[in-house]
This record gives sequence, structure tokens and C-alpha cells, in this order.
Amino acid sequence: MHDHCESIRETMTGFVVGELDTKLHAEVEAHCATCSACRSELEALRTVSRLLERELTAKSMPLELNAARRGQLSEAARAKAVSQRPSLESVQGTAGPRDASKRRTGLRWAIPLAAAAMLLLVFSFGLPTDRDSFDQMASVPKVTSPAPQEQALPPQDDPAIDPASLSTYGLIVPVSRDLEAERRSLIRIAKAREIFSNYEYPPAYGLPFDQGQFERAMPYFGLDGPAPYFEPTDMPMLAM
Amino acid sequence: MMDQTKAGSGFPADEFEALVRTHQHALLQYAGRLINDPVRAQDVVQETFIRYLNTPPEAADAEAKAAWLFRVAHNLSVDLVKTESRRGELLKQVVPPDPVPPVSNVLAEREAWERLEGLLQHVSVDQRAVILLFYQQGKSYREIAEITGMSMSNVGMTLHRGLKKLRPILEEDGQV
Repeated sequence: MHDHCESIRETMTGFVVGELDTKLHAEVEAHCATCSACRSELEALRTVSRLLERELTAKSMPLELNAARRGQLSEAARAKAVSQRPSLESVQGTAGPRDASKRRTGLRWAIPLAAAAMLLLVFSFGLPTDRDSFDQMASVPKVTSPAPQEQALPPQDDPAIDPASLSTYGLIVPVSRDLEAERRSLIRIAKAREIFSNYEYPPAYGLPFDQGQFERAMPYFGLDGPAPYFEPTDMPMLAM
Repeated sequence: MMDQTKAGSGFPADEFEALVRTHQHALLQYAGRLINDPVRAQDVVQETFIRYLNTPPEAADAEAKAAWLFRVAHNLSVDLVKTESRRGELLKQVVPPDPVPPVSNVLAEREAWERLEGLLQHVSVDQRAVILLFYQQGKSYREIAEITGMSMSNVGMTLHRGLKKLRPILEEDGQV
């Protein structure tokens, strides 16, 4: 194939769909008038283009967001109107308007996090006995009952973690601002739970932590972004 | 239907709801086809509108708003495709992939969806995006460049390569 044919063919799709400037358009036209190989190439591209146009512009039923999502968006818009910052986390989960108690969902992630925090403390420092000693314990390495290496929380994705365990634990990975970061967080927590479930320890409720302590614990799990979102149905899983 | 309650303090909630009604079809169509999952497309489009609420585009004209919505939906969809393909490779080793939920109860529409999906699976996600924006959404090269962040010449080249990739497949089917 001639070099000129090669360069003409690179511009052929633009010619077919009418996106070439006048000069190039005329050049392709003139070339195809004299080159049968390029003419047949042009015809083939035209056919492909027509087929795609036909298939992709075929009439379909009007698509719309489902009623639950429209309700959530509506709620978010109203929340915005009263200067509340809306987010998917604050509106996802229920379809209709929510009552005041359901709005207080800031702690929904705290229990899974608490389980993970407790786990780290249990393995690293033994059972905590003093409500206010988290910082102190975290800063003083103890040598008693060291955590086995294989049970330490992974700093990054642990390839040994079975991703299927996410669904085993009922975790729902949301679509959110940073899917990859949330996925990593969920895997860490799933791993923590996996270890936790094999460890004899009282149920997750009654944990000796408060909200501020959870937040201070977050960096220990690499959770420096927004807290992961958990469906409310996920919560009973912790009552082991 | 959405609650038509008027927003109280300045934020035009009615205008937002009209925006949702105007653009939801095109965005769902585009995201659904790009990620090949009409259900997760609902997530993508909802998140797109949530982002519009949080950080609306500065430009006020309708065309700029539409371009902004498409850009966000495009980025979310591409991120999702890339994340899913990485995770999918891992998951495939232990569990079979979830079947794609049917796009419609109308048989002809389902067949059309599957036929086109069979074709579009042969092109890259960028080529798929450009093909969809051009043919499905009727966007120009300039608009596609704005949505995808490619240069206009790159849009033309991506479309060309996509069509070239599809040609032998259509020839095999006897359609070209």
C-alpha cells in the first residue's frame, strides 16, 4: 500500500462521520476518486459506521432512575437547600424521607471500626482495661503476648485475603468517591473480622471506646479518608 | 415522582429535579452501556447528581451543565470498569461472575442489548466510550474531547481504531 494511501486511511473515519476540515475532506475525496483500494476501504468503514449508528440510536424505553434513588436525590436537594452537605453516605439506604433517629448514622461505621481497633489492641497489647489509655497504650510498645506475624493487619492489600470473604461477611462495596480506597479499607476490616471471629472475646457491643478514640484509631488502619459506609443490615454481623 | 416541595433558602431544588428529569435517560443509557450493567449505572448516575449538588459547575448554561454531567458520569464509569476488571480477575478464580441483569423485559430490546454488547466487548473502554458518545449520544468530536479529556485528534484516532477493530467482526457476521 502506498504511503499516501496509509495517511488517507487514517483520516477516513473523520471523513465518513463528517468531522474533517474542508481541506482534508477534499483531499480524501480526490484520492478515493482515483484509488479503488481506498474507495473500497471507505465503503467498508461507511457500512460499519451506519451499522453502529443504527444499533446505538435504536429506540429504547425511556430510562429513569428508580423511585428510591429519585427520593434520595430529592432528599439530598432539600438537605442542600438548608445548607447541609449532602453525600451518598447520608442519603443511601432508605428510599423515602428519613426520621431524625435514622439521620444519626454517623456511628454506623464505628462499630466495625471498633471491632478492628479492639482486635489490634488485643493482639498488640492485650485486653484494654482503662477507657482513657488508648493513646498511652498505642505509644508504648509492649512485649507481652506478641501478635503472630500472620495475624497482623496488612498495611496494603493482602494478596492472601480471599476477596470472596467480603461477601461472606455481608459487606457491600458502595459506589463512592474513591472506590479503590474504600475497597482496601473494607478488605482490611474484613480481615480484622476474620481474625476477630476466631478469637474468643466478648461481643462487640460494650466496647470501651468513644467516638474520639475511634477517630484517633483510624490512622492505625490506614483509614485516613472518609469512613467506609456500611449498610445497617451489616451491623448484626458483629454480634458474634 | 420526586417530591415537588420547594426548597426554602435559595438552593433551587426544583431546578435540580428538572435537571435530573432532563438528563437521567441519556446518562443511564451511556453509563449502562459503558459499564455493561444497567443496575450499577443507576449508582453511577445517582452519584453524578449528588456530585452536582455538592460542587455544581460554574457555568450556568444548559450545554455546559450537560457536558459537566457527562464528564462526571464518564469518569465514574471508567473508574468502575477499571476497578471491576482488576477485582474481577481475582474474583473469577473463586466465584463465577454475577450475570448481567436484564436491561429490559422486552425481548427485542434484550436481544439488541446482547447483540451490541457482543460487539462492543471487542473494543477498549476508551474506544467504547468514544463510540457511545458519538453514535449513541450524538456528540461531536469537540464535545467528546471535553467529556473524556482527550484531544480532538485523539478522539478521531480512537474512533477510527475502534471502527477498524469492529470491522472484521462485522465482516465475519456477514454484516459488512
